[in-house]
Order: sequence, then C-alpha cells, then structure tokens
Amino acid sequence: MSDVALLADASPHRSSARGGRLARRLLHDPEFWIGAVIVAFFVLITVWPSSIAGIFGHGDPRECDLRFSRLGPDANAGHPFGYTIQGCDLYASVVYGAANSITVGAVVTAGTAIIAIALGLFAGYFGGWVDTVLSRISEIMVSVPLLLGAVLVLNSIETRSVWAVSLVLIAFSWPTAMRVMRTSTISVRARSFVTASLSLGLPTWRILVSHVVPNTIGPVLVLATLQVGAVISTEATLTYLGIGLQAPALSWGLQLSQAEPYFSSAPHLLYFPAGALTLAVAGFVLLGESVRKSGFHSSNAA
Amino acid sequence: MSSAVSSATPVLEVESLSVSYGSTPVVADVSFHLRAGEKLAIVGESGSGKSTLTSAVLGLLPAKARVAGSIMLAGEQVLGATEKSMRALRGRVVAYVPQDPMSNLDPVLRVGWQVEEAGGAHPSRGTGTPRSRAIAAMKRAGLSDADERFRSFPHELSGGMRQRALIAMGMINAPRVLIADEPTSALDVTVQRIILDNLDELVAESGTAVLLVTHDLGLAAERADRVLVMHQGRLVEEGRSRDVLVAPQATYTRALVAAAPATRAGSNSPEADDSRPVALALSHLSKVYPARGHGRRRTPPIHALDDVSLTIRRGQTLAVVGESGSGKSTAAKIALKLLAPTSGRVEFESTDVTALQGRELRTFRRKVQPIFQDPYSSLDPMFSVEQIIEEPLRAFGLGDVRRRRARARELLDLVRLPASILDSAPSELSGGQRQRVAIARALAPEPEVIVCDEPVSALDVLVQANVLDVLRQIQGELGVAYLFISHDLGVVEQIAHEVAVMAGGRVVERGSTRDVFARPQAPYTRQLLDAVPGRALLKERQSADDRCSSVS
Repeated sequence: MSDVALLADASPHRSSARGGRLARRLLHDPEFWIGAVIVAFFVLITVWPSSIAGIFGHGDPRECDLRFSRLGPDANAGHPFGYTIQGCDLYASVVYGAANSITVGAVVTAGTAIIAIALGLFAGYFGGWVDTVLSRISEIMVSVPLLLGAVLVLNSIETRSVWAVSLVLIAFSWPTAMRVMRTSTISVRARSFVTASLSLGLPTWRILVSHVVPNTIGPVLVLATLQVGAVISTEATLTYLGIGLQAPALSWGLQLSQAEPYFSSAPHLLYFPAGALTLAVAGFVLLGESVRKSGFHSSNAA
Repeated sequence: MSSAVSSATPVLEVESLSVSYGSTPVVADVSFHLRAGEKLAIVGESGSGKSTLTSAVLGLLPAKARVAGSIMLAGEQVLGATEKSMRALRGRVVAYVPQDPMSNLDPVLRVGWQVEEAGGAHPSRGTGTPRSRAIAAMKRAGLSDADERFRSFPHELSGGMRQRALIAMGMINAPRVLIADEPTSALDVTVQRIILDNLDELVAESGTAVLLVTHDLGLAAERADRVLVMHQGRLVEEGRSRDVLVAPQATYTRALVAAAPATRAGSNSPEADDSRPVALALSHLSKVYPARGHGRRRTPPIHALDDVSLTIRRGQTLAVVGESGSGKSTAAKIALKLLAPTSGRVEFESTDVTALQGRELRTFRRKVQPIFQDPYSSLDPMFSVEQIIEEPLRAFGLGDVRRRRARARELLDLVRLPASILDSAPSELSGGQRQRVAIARALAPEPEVIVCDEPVSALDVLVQANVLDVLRQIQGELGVAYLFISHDLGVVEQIAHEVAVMAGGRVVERGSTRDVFARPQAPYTRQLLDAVPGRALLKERQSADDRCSSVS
C-alpha cells in the first residue's frame, strides 16, 4: 500500500515539462534518428549476433575452410563480404566482431562517467585538501598520453581480455570528465538552493544526491555520449597495434591487423571491418551530438 | 533655465517607434524627443521595453527585430542606417553607459587603456595625447587618482570606481546624447548619490543631453527634467518629473508611485513592543577572517563582524541595514548557523546554539529558516514547486505523503499562489512567484524565526510591494519573527519593528523603526537616509496627501 502511495508521489515529476521539451527537441532532430538507428543496430548485433550473421546462410565465424582463404566477395555463394585469411565468412566475422567493440565502448564510458562523477563531485563540493589531492591525481593521469600509457600497461599483462583493455582505458580517460564535473559542482554549490538545504540540516549525501548531482551531471553525460565513439576507435587502434585484444577473439581491430599484409591483394579484408568501425563510431557521435544540441547539459536551456 | 531648455533644438527625436520580435511587440508606438542639454528619464520595470528602446537608438538591435517608425539622432536617421555610418555616430554623437560595471569592462585590459581606446575611436576630437585625454576624462568622472588608476585592472577597482571608468569612457568625446542604462543600480545608495552628482556636473559642463534609463521612479524624478513611464512596451505617461511624481495620471504610474518604498513608508511602520519574549539573540558576535598569503601579497585579517549584538523578538521584525561589506550577511549566516562566529553567542529561546549537535541542532534548524536574495538561484531548477515546498517536511519527517501534499497547497495559498503551479518547474515562474515559493518553503516546517537576506532587492517595485505584503500578512497570522537584512532603507521602513544600522562590521545605530527614521542619531544613518533617491520629493507628496485628507 505504502509502495503505491510512494509511486503516486513520484509520478508527477517524471513527466515534468522539462523532460517533455527535451524529448520533443530530440525527436525533431534527424541527427538523433540516424544516430539512434545505427546505435540500435549495433547494440542488436552485440546482444544477439546470430540474428543478423546467419541471413546469408553462413552464420558461424568459426566455420572455416582454408581453401577459400582471402577470396573476394561472392554474393551468390552466400559470402557477400568474401572470406578471411583462414577462409571463414568475413560477414559473420564482422558481425560477431561488433560485440567486443561495443562492449568496450559501453564499459569504458560507464566506468569513466562513474569515476568522474564521484571524484569530481567530492573535489568540487568539499574543496580544500580533498580537491587538491584529487585534482593533482587527475593531472598526473592526464599528463600520460593515453596511447603510451595503454601500451606500457597492456604490454605487461599476459592475457588481455575485453575487461583488461576496458580497465586500462578507464584508468587513463576519467580525468577530463572529472574536471568538467568538478567545475560544474563548484558553480552549483555556490547557489543558494544548496545553502537552503544546508539550513534544513540535510545530511551531506542527501544534498549531493538530490540537489547537486541532478544539476551537474548533464555536461558529464553529454561528454560520455560523445566519448563512446572515440573509445571504440581507440580499442581498435590498440588491437591493431597488437596490444589490445588477442586472437582468437573476434574484433574489428584484430581483423584489420591480421589483414594488413594483404591490403593490396585482398582489399575487402580492409574495407569491411573498417567500414563497420566507421559506421559504429559515426552512429555514437551523431547520437551524442544530438543530445548535446538538445540542451540536456543545461538546466536553464530547457 | 527651463525655458532655455525647451527652446533648444532636439538632438534625439523618436517618432512612433515600434519594435517586435516575430509576432511579439516589445516596443509599441513610442514617440518622444530629447533637447540639447536636457535630462530625460525612462522609467519601467523589467520587460517594459526600455532596454530595447535604447538599443534601437544606438542602432544595436539584432537583425531579426522588426522595426517601424523613425529615430532622428542629431539630424540623421538611425533606422536603416549602415553599420559604418552608425559607427561614426556612436561615441561622438551618442554614447552609452551600461548597467553592470562588473561585466562591462574587459577584465584583461588595463582600465586607462580602455578609456583611451574609447577616446581614440574618434581621434579628431579634443587635443593632447590620447593618454592625457584619457586621464583627464577619468579625473572628470571623479577618479581623482587617475594617474595611478590608469594602470589598474578592472578587478582592482571597486564597483563605484568601475562605474566612473565607464562614465569616463562614455563622456570622453563629449557626446551630444548620453544614454545611461541603470548606471548605478548595482551600487550602494551613498556611492550612487556621489556618482550621479558627478555625472550631473559633467553633462552640465559639456551640454550633453542625458537619457537616463531606470526602474526607480524616485531616482528618475530626482535626476531628470522630464520623465517617461513605460509599461509593456507603451509610453503610458510623460511629463515634468515633479508632476509625474506628485500627480501621476496613468493608473500604472499611480500604482508605481504608491508602491515606491519611500511613499509607502512613514507613519505606517509597525510599532515595536519591547515586552515580547526574545526569540533569537546574537550577543557580542565577532567574525575575523585570518590573514592570508605571504610576503608582499599578505592581506591583513578582516574583521567582518566586531562585537555585534542583535535581538529578535517573537512575532516582530528586526531589520539590519547596511551597505555592501557592512557585515550584515555575515550576521545572517551566523544566525542560521551556517557559519561559526570567532567569538560570541547565538541564543535561540535561551539555549546557546553555537555548540548544538544532533537532535537539538535539527530542532534549531527547523525553527530558524532562511529566505535568500536571488529567487533565480534559491530554487533547485530540477525540482517541481511541490518537491521544493515539501522538501523541508520530508527532511524533518513531518506528516505522511498525503498530509504533505495538503500542506503544500495550504502554504501556496498562504503566499497567494494558485495550487495549479504545484507541478511547475521554477523556470516557468516569474521572479515574484519564485520568491513566494521560497517563502512557502521557509514556512513549511513552522519556524519561529525566518532570516530574510535581501528578500526583495532582486524584484521590481510592484512585485516588491506584493512580496512585502505577503511577508507582513504572514507575520500577522502566524506570529513568525523576521531577521530582515537589507540595503534599502525604504523597504525596511515598511516592515520592521526595530532597525539596526551596520557599517564596517559594527552596529552604528539601533532603535525602533519610527525613532530611527524620524530622528536618526548617527551621521551615517542620516547619510543613508538622504541618499535614498527621491525620498525628499516623495515625502513632500505624501505630506501634501495628508493635508488634503485631513482637510476633507
């Protein structure tokens, strides 16, 4: 009974005018639709690759025949993208390769956002030595070039799983978002609705959760949506350089890396994984850009 | 003198000017003229179109504005003029002194350089090197140590000095028309007075005509020869300053004059009652901010409060009046226990508050609530009005869901807002509505004392009067006490039982409101009272009214 009452209490705010306006602005933006469709497609083949991989009759990327090694596209035989070096179906490989890229993109972005929000919030709200310590740490991390740092760390790891690669990327990419969170927290903390809740004697965690975070989180979330595409391409870069995921994992970066010696003789090995990579990155960037344009990051814009 | 003025040729003629954005008219059919050497004030509230009007005169309207009518500036048509020909007019024929001295100087350039640049835009005018002209202009604008100030950066100057620098920039080329857009509304009254006196001398010397844009009718009447009153884009009244103030014709002007703090005040300030029990007592408070920095950059310790004692009685209002830097806001923060005093006690219902913790602190928090100055930042933009008002109830665990809803409606009713705004976001409300929501929030946990830190100074005059009425009515109904912090003596006079005047961290005068206003003792209080714009004129009008009513 009390649960029902609680729900009734919360419901009017869900459909707040602000949310409605943001949604309307998004729905009228073609960039949002293009991005959303592309992202939805890649998310689908991440969770359920067999649904798409099998439509040409050869849905298993591990079913290989070395006789067909590096043969070009042959739509009639059910291999529209051609064959890989091992003679597997390239189309199925590219479809299955999405999973790792998208997972890394999602995990890194979520991890970065969580760390950045927590640390930025503490640094900005408490100030003083908390801020000094956290800010110096973030400066140290930001001073290491991402690629160099990743090369150093990943080279010292024996087996590099999706999670290991994600962790390394998170470790080197949170400072930017943390600075953004810190700055917007400082500006919100100075506003008098925070002082008002202080004089209500609210516990600090409650002020942070109900007043500060909702008003500061926007810019970080926008940054995060824009970041997904960048993370996916960084993962591909690392894998291509041989320090990301390892065979027999299926990954676009790995496919590009393995195809390297044959670029001139079998260009389809380059075009299709690279095309998939570009499309996925473009989808996430378009989506992020449309969210940014909608004014989601600013409580005043809506 | 006035006949000489009226015979002079007009330097600015505005004929049936209309400005609209899309289908929204902002300025509708406005006509007026300004003669050489004349001072004309445009009075209106925010949104009345006065700023659009000045932008139109300066030829600075955005391209999407649709304009009709005519603006003749020293014989040249402004509407439709090319940017190049406008540039020749600006600075030389028409100059502009903007409103906010904090944001209108470039923070990375030296002040003198900026004045010099303004002078250099029309190098043919005047004699001497650009630098000497700039220094002379700054001196004329009242920056006496202009030689030193020339090399200062804006952040090294006080608000008043920055405003003087802006005036120097406007006047350096001795323009024929000076548009001053709320030139002193960001400044303390005593500073405001000195700067306006100085500006008066300056324009008298150079024969510049002044278009003074302000929201303050008293200020307009005191400083200008004629007053135009704008309301919702239209000119509702035009006339000689005294006439407009003493015998306003339009309904809107009458409402404005009636709402002006200085008119509403006087005999109707509430009577102090010393027999009432004390609700909140601040005794011998001091707050010292210790010295900071090292070596040459070391700053001395700042005594924000120096042995300040204030007593707030139940159901009464104590007003603390002072200019910026007087320590009044520090006192408010200590009263709310948001800031710890260096020494001294805060007693709430005879218990010392400074050491309270846990449950007792929660009780204190519940009984002493704040209202802040800026209603645009005191409400969480992500919350609905209902959430905002219910938050204190939830925080102190008062009532269940249904009772909180009912209480929120009740509170809205108390501050005269409709229950239909419960689901609105603060961004959908006007400034006055927001401030009333803030009052409802402060009232929610049934406090004994409300600390109001400049609760009406961000609002238009009519809205101010409305919010003050609400505050007074609530005090009558609920018997809540107010600690009312303000820089505006006029506002204080209407609501306070007692007044304490603060300067430099000390209380320089205290007493019942009637005594302090009728017989101010401290020279500083007298200075403050004299500086309230238009006070003398409005008082005169009021005594005229009183005579009429006593005769009839």
